[in-house]
Amino acid sequence: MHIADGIFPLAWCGAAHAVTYPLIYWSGRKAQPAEIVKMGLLASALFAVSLVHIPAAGTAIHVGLLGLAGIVLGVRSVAVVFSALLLQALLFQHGGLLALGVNALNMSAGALLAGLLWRVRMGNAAVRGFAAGFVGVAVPAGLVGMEFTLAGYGKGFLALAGLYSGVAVLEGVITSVTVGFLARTRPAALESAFMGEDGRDGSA
Amino acid sequence: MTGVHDGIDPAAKLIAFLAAGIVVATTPGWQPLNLAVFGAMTAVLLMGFKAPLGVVAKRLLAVSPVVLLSGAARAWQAGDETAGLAVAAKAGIVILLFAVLTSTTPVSSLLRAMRRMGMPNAVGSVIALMERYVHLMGEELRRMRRARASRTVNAMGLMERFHSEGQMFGALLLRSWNRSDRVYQAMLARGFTGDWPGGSRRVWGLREAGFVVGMAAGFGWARWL
Repeated sequence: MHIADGIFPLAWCGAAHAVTYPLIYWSGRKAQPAEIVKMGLLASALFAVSLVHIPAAGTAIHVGLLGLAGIVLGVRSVAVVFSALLLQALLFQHGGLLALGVNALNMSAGALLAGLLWRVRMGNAAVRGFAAGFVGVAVPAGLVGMEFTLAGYGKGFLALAGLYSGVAVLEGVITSVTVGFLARTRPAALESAFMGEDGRDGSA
Repeated sequence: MTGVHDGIDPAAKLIAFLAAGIVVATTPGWQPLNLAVFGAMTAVLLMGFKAPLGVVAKRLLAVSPVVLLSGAARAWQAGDETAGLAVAAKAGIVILLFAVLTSTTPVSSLLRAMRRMGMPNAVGSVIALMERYVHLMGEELRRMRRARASRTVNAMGLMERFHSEGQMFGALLLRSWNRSDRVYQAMLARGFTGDWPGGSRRVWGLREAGFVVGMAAGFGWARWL
């Protein structure tokens, strides 16, 4: 789902960068130093997890945990997702620098929606965790498919995005288990610690 | 390994490569001559910068499925194979350009340059922390997985495995949460005030200006051949 450079029109990439930067400022506004350190460490853990391959049905999947990022980091997830994508682009060339804005918007949309779903108190934690994990994959995949279609690559990419629904279900299951574990051991991690309305550090 | 770029401010390199990438990406349609010249210029940069060929090849290989799939889809959709070739060639050259830059300039230098160029503080700080801790977290996760493997006698089913992985990821998040408090205290003790140092702003000399202008002019010339 990481779009490389030279695939999308440059105007799109420029527009996406122009939208992304105000979003990042909004996401990181009033962040206290302690909170930034927490964001960095949680981002490191999420990044490390995303490099793990889990054997499943004769193949291996790797999880992105964007849903979990949305749950734990709330609006701060935009800055964290952008940071992770920039680091991936520099270290592994996964996703381009020109296309960084497009990639950041796609992924952040999934994380933000997941965080929102988690905070709408409908259903128990397991169900909300599953929903958050599911949209964390399904929304970026759907957006990428739509963008490829609009850019003139045909509707095949939409079908390809549909295939991601299977991965989204698996990620929903993992996210559900993870939030269940956190709810039992450290419920504070799942509270709106990073909503950023008043810049407080929610680690207490 | 030393190359012609040694001593040039990373910010100048970043601007020059971005400019070159933009020129290549905006070249309209299938123009074999222009693309061949872009390719040749990129190859010259690859040699001049003494980029590690193995690393660059590995990176190109990793992103090639996306590029080839996009090219094939564009050709299929447009009913014209040159449309697909144009997409694949331009994407390949831009990726190669950035592979040369990122494999010959330390990521930390590029990040400091971006910080000086106005990257938001939250992003700069998070990336600096990630650069420092991601390997540590990765090692911690590997240790946890090794420990699980040594304690698991029977092979796990799919759902069991997912349950186990989910709990492990939760445990890793908790460890990083707890570690962040200790790290923050240690940083405070060393004078951390919340701002990540971006390094002092360097005054560009003739080399920096020449490099940026040369790259932009060279690729611009090739674009309008």
